[in-house]
Amino acid sequence: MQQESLKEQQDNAITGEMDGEISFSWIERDDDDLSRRGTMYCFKSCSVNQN
Amino acid sequence: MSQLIKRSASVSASDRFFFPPSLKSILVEGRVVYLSPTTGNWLVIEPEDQPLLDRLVAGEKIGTLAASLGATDDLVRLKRLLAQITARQFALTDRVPVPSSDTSVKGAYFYLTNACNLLCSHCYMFSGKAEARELSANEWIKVLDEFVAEGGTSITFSGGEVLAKKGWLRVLEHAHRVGVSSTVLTNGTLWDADLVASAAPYIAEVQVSLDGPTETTNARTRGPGAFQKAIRTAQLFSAAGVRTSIAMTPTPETLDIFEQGFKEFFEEEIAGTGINVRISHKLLPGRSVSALAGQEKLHYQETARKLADQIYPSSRIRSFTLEHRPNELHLNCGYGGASISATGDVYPCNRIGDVRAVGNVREQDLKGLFPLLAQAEQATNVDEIAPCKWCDLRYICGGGCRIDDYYLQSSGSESVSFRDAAAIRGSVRKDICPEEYRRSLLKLMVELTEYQFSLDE
Repeated sequence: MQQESLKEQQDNAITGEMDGEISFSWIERDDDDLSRRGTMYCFKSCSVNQN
Repeated sequence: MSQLIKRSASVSASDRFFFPPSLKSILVEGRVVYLSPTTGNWLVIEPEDQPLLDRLVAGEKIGTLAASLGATDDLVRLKRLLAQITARQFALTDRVPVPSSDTSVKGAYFYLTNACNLLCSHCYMFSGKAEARELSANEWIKVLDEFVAEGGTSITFSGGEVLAKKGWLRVLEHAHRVGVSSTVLTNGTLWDADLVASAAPYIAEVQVSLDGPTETTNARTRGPGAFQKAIRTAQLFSAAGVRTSIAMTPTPETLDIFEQGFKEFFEEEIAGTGINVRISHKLLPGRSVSALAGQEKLHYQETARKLADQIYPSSRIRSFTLEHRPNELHLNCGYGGASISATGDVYPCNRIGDVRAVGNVREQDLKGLFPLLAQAEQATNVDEIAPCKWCDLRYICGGGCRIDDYYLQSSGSESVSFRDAAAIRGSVRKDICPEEYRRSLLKLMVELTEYQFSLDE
């Protein structure tokens, strides 16, 4: 019953969206960029730390 | 720190997307990597979503496409596509995305001195004694001004040990005054609270070297007594608000004991301080170490990865994600950026023992040397080198370390190393890029998408 109701809502949403706006959302991960040096970029493979 | 953020967006039914040209579909373990070779960007979709995407790419209006969908599931799939296209900025509704690229020539390495109070076993600079005729602080300041005049914006100061250079603080002060962002690489053993307080306002980032999680392990590479001093310095800088890293490089001697006390070290000394720990995944040849090859190289990489994962779960995919912002082209590994030795020689790579100098700042100002560095950068860009220039993944891969992986060859001549000749257009190549590497890169691209995005259903 609940599923039918959801489907009905979504079908209505489709009809409405044909003329108006289509909205969507997602979850995005945001990492602090602690690992990137502020200066010359050099890939991790080039690890000039050895001094 | 990592946090999950809910994002939402909408498009008008009359909108259509403008996609970059030459798109490719590549099947990777049951998923489709939808690749844009020209913008270094990609989507990861289910094979059944391909027809929907094809219609968007063909220029169909989004509302028309939505209206034609019969099943509710199809709308959910369309929204999933729209979310990923928007999140990755893969296509835009008003124009084709324009990629950006970093350039090496805005950053420089200044090796202020070769003097160092330590004699680390792995030191790739073979530092210890100052060299004859090193540049003075005043000369460095002059070079710094020339660098800024050429558009330089950031400098990594290294050595030797930066603090072993007479006048180092004056150079840093000057860099700050003229708007340069400074990173200081240090062994951390010569600082005290007052020195940190004096220098912190001029430094954007500090990287302290520490080559073991305990005094015993660290001492094998860096000598006794350095461990606590280095940690203290990193903690002082971090507390002073300077972005701070600890860089750790295992050696063949310490590799298999590095794990002992590693987690405890992190929990007791690092966690909560804001300090970032970096672990080398590759060993350069140095004072008493050689570059690794074959199984030894793999073992080193795997051990480094395991260590990193102990303290930063998913460290590899996290790094890959941070290095691959949407529409950011990786044209080079950094080759062509100025690296200036303590005696003023200018090199196109910070591994100055492995490349040929383009000149010396005492004989020629940087303005005259910059075109040579720009040529070096141009000649080693992924659009120029073989086999990268034929590869659709080149702007995502960036080509890797030029010195380790490539050689120079003009038509008809023998191959030579970067130490023996200057890189010129058309001369830089490697024989093989293994298919296994390409597949592993594609797999990372799928993992990035799974790591960074999920649909809010």
